[in-house]
Amino acid sequence: MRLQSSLLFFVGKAILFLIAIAIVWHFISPAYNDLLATTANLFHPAHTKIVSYGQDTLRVYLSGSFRAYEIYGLDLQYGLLIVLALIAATPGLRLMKRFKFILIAFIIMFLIHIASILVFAKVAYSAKTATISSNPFVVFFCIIGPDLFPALVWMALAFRQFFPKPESNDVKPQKQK
Amino acid sequence: MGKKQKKETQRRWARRVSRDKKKQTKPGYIARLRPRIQSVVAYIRRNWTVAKVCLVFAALILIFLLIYSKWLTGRAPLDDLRRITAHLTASVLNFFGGHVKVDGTLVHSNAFSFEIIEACTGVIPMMIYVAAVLAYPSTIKLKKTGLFHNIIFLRPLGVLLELVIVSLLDWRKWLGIVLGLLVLYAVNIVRMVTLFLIGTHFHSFFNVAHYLIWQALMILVAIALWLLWTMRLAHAAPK
Repeated sequence: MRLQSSLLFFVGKAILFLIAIAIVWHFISPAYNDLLATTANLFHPAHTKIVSYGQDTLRVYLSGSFRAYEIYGLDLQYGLLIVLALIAATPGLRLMKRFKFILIAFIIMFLIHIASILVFAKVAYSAKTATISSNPFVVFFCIIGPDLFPALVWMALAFRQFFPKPESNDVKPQKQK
Repeated sequence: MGKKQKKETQRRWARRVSRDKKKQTKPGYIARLRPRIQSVVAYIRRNWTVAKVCLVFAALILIFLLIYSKWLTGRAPLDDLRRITAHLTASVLNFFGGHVKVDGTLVHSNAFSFEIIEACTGVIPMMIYVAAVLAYPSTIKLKKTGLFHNIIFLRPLGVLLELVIVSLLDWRKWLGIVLGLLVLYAVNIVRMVTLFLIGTHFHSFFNVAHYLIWQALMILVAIALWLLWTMRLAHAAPK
């Protein structure tokens, strides 16, 4: 019962943090989008240009064509908010460690966002006029990734603090001589 | 022996000695890397259960990814789920006094309308949840036949086969998956209903609620359900 109440308390705290961060992030997201576009352009695949468009959209332009593929920035960015909310709500973390984890998570998520944009641009370039929404790479990075990566990053950083240790009947490996 | 020959042999010796010295002081790249590889292997061996969970989880995500991109996107099962989601959303809204109509996957009223796309069915958090439940180690004992475990190349196949058999036998996994999927789908309907209400009454707040809050909340609910499952069911005594 204690475990469930602590879980409920953790989830409640995470939701509150998430709402607070989301409201603040709404004002930061255009700047973050610009940062993503600028950084992605440093590594962008040949013959494409990534431009931050409007408030929250990233456009991938292909050279020799007026056609642009769009990624909605917030569609990528919400993953970052989940990690920040989860780390902020994780019980048993000291303040300095929490800030350290937040910084690490931010950097990892930023790199994942850049990788996602670059993969999207690469697929958009090789697809030219074909539809790209069912491409496995686009599905992985731009559809499953924003949900999957934050959970993985949080697990990797904070599982020692919170996770139940998995038990199994595996034979324990022998000690190395 | 002439002077020239003597000098040549001396030079050769000097070269060989310096080469040996270099070898002694600076081991090769692979030799330097070996202890690190050994420590990584030892770490994985120590945490083999966790490593197995991660590997199986990654494999399941890859399988789901293929299913989603090849057989679900733009195909009948997901289109049906979109229509069902649209109908359920409209039903709930109408139950609470709204005047909402459904046109295929389009939910609309006089003030606001939205279309239920694939991501709006909550299928991605569901997939991640199912993969996490299936990958979590079961406490059910399984006699290893050694059929695949003795052949190193077939060992991953053996692990996967073992996982499938254990998952089929473990009622706690099935219960966790069924209950979890029901809760996730119910939360998704709540999400659609609240988004429609926000779109109707607080339109400027719609993007924040849609992209930043509810999408993140769905995955948060999936994580919470998985943690609850591991706490309540995964460690329950096997029947």
